[in-house]
Amino acid sequence: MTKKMLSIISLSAVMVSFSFAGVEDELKKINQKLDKIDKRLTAIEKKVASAPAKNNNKKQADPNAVYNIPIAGSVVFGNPNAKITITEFTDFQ
Amino acid sequence: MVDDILAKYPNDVKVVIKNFPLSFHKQAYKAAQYALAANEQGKYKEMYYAIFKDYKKLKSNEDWPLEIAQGLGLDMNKFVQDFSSDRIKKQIDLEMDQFRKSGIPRLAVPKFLIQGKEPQGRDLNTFSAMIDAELAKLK
Repeated sequence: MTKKMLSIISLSAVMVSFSFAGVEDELKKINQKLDKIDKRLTAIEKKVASAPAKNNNKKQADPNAVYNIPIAGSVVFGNPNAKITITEFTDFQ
Repeated sequence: MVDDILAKYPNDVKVVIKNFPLSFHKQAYKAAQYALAANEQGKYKEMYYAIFKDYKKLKSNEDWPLEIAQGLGLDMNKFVQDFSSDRIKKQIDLEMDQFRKSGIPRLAVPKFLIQGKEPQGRDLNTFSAMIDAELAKLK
């Protein structure tokens, strides 16, 4: 009876240690996955942080955009037949 | 600045003035009306610079441009009539509308366009370089 009990206990101990080894393995894998996710998150965060700055630059002045503003009866300084037109939007300030 | 450019390129460059009176709203709008009324008598520039130099005076007396007009020797009856004319108000509204609908991202003044393009700086060198490049394209 006691022999049987002992063998059961030792057997289950062996099983427990086996399953612990399995858990450790799983933990390692999970940690590795978390590291990967962390790296990807950092990369995404960097991209997000730089994206609005790019948009703001575009908003400030787009050197390639051409805005056609007809003269439409406005006051003109200088030679009215000049080839180059500077348009000035102004306010008294 | 604009005068420097016009002095440097007397034949090749013209400057089109678009009013966008948004600061201290009512006074600025009236000032634009007064400037365009002076334009009817060929004195836009004189009126414009006189107001520009001392624009803060508009806050205490929005009709101070009347004194400037007198100083410039304008026909005051015509000046006052032109000032309140629908034509001048429509012109200012049209110019404001042109700016709002232009697609220009930042509606801040003063805003310059050279052949429709926004200069990347507001100094004589930047403007001259852009003008020279545009002139070279036309040749």
